Amino acid sequence: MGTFIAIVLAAVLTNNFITAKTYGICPFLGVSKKTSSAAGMGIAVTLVMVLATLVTYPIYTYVMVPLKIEFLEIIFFIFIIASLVQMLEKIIQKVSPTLYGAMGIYLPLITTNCAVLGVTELLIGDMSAILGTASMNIGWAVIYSLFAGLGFTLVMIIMSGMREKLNYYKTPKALSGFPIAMVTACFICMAFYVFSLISI
Amino acid sequence: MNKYKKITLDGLIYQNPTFMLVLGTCPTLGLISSAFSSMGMGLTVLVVLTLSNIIISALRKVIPGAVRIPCYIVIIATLVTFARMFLEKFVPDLYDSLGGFLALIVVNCIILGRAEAFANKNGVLESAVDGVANGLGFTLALTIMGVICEFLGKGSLFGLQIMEFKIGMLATPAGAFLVYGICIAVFVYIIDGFERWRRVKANKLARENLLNAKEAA
Amino acid sequence: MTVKQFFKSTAFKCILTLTCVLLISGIFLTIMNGLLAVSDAERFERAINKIYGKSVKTEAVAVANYNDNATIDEAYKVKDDGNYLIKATGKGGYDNGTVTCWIVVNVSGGAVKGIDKVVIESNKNQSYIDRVTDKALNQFTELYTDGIIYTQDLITNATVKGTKTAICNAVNGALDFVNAKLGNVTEDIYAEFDFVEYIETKLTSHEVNEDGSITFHIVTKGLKEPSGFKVDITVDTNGVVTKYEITENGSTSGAYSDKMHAGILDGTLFVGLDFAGIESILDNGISLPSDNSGTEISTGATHSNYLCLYAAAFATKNYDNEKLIVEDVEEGGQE
Repeated sequence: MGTFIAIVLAAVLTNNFITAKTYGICPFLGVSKKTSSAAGMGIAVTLVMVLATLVTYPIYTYVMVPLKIEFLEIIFFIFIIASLVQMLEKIIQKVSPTLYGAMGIYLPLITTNCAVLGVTELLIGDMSAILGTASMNIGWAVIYSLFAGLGFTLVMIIMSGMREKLNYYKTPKALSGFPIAMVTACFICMAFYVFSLISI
Repeated sequence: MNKYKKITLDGLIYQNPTFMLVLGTCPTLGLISSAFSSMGMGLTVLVVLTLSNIIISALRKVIPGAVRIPCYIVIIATLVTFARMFLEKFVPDLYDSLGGFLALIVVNCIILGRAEAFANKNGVLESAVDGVANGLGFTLALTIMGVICEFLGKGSLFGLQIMEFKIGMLATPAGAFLVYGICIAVFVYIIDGFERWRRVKANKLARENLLNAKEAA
Repeated sequence: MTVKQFFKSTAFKCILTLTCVLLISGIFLTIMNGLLAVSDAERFERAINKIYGKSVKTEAVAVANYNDNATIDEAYKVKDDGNYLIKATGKGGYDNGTVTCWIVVNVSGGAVKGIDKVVIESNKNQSYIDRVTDKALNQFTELYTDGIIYTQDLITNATVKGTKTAICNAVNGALDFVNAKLGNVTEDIYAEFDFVEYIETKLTSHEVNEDGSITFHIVTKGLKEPSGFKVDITVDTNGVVTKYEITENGSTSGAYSDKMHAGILDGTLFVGLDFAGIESILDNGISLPSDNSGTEISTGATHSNYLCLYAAAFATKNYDNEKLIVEDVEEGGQE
C-alpha cells in the first residue's frame, strides 16, 4: 500500500510528466486551447501509455534482456508504440464512431509524443527512488504509467482552463501565441514545484 | 548558390525550429538549466538530423509512400541508438547529463518534420545543408537559453561558478518555460522589426527609382 | 490475387522495404554495439574515477567494521599510489539518519598520511545536507593530523550539527578501517568497560592525580536531539565523585540546555555520590529533583540529562579498573 501511494504521489504530483520532467510538451502547448480537446488528448495519451507499458515492459524484461539485445530498445519501443496507435485508431473507428470523432484526431499525434516513449524508457530504467524497497514488476509499471498519464491529463486540463480565461485579455503582439502559453505554464510549474517538497 | 543561402537562412532564422516553429520543446525545456547539456543536446540533434536527412533523401525513390513514416522512424531510431552508444563510450559526461532525453530524440518533431517536409522532396546535398542549418538553428537557440538559464539560475557558465547571486527558480522547469517564452517573444519581435525595416527600405528605394525615372522622362 | 500478382503488388514492396530497412538497422546496430559497448567493469571504473578525479586502477578490499559509529560499505585500494578509496556510512545524524560518503585516504609508507577528499554520496533524513559545502568538506583534508578523530565542532562552514556528526563518523570509520588494514590499530582501552553505550570511547581520556583520584575527560555520543557532551568528572579512591564539570554542552540550543536539570548542569546532583547512588538515580528516573524552594523542576531535556547521567555512571563504575592505572602516563599526555 505504501508503494502504491508513493507511486501515485510521484506520478501525479511530485514527478509530474509536464511540470517536473517536461515530457509531452508538444500536445501540452498545441492542444490546450480548449478544455474539451485537452481532456480528450489527455485521456488518449493515458490510454496509449498504459497499453504501451503493457506491451513494452514484458517484451523488454522477458525477451530483450535474455537475448542481450537491450541496445535495440529504442527501435523496438517506437515501433511498438507506432503500431499500437495505428491499431487503436482502426479499432476505435470500427467499434465506436462517436468515440473516434472525439478522440480520433489526437491519436496520430501521439506516436511522436515524448510522454509515451518517455514512460516506457523510464520504467525500464532505475526507479528505486520512487519504489523504495519494493522491486519493479509489470503491475507497478502499469500503475505508474496509468497515474503518470492521469497527471498529464490533470495539467492539460488546468492549462486549458487558464488559456480559455486568457482569451478575455489583450496580450502584447510579440507575446501572443506560444510565449504567453509558456509564461502561463511557468506558473503552473511553480505551483507544482511545491509538491516536490513532499517527502514520503 | 542562392538556393543554399535561402535554405541556410530559413533553418537558422526565418524558420528557426526552436523560436519560430516551436518544435522539439521537450528536450529544450528539460535541458536548458545547464548550458553544457543544452549545447550537447543541440549538437547531437545536429548530427542525427543531418545524417537522417542525407539517408532519407538518398532513399526517397526507393521507399514506397505508404510505409514512408515507419521507415523514417526506424532510420531515425537507428541513428539515435548509434548516437547514444557513441556518447556513452566517448563522452560519458554528456551521456549522463542528457539522461532520458537522449532516447527521446527519436520523437523530436524537428527530425521527423524535416524528413517529411524537406528530405523526401529534395536532393542529397540540399537535404544535408538543410539538416546542418536546422541543427545549427536548434543548437544556437538552446545554447543561448542554456547560458541565460544557467547564469541566472545557478550563477555559473558551463559549470564554472561565476557569481554567488542566483535565482534558483530559473534552473527549474518553471524557469525554463519562462525563459523560453520570453526568448520566443524577443526573437519574434526582433525579426518582425527587421522585416518592417527592410520593407520600408525597399519601398523607399522603389519610390526613389520611380521619381528618378520620372525626372529622366 | 495470385501469388505472382502479390509479388508485384505495392503491399509486397512495402513489406519488403520495411523488412530490409529493419534488417539493415538491426545488423548495423549489432555491429556498432559490439564495437562500442561499455562493459560493466568500465562503467564501474568511470564511477570511481569521477570520485577520485583522475583515471586510476583499483582493486577491491574486503570490508570489515572497526568502528561502531560507521559502516564500511565498499573499499578499494588504488593500485597506482596505494591510497584507499572507502565508501562509508556514518551514523548519528539528525533524526537518527545517516550520511554515506566516499573518502579518499592518503596512504604512503604503510601509514595514513591524510584525507585527500570527502564526497557525499547519499543520506537518510538529512534535510539540510546542502548546507555542508565543499569548503566544509575540505576541512577534513586541512585539519588532518596523526591520530585525529573528527568531531562535528572541528568542521565549520556548516551549521548542521547532526549531519556533520554523521559525516565525521563516516570519515573516522574510514580512517579506522584503513589503519586496521595497515595493521596500525590503537587499542581502545575503554571498549570493555561498563556503561559505554553512550560514551565515545575513542575520544574519552583520563588522568590519575597525585592523591590517587582519577579525572575522566568524558565525551558522550549524541542522542537524537543533543550531540555529544564533554564532561570532566573526578572520582576519588573510594569511587565517590568529587568534582564534576560540563566543559561542553551538546544540547541543541539555549532553550534545551536551560531545561536540563540544574543539579546535572552544575554537578551538585552527583558530587558525593558513588556508583550505587548514581545507579539508583538511573533506576528511579530523573524525576526526583526539587530546587531549594521545594518545587519540582520540570525538565524537557531528557536526552541531555541521560547523557550526563551515563557519563557519571561510567566514571564511578570504572574508577578502579586496572587498565586506567597501567597506562596513565600515556593517556594523561594525550589530552
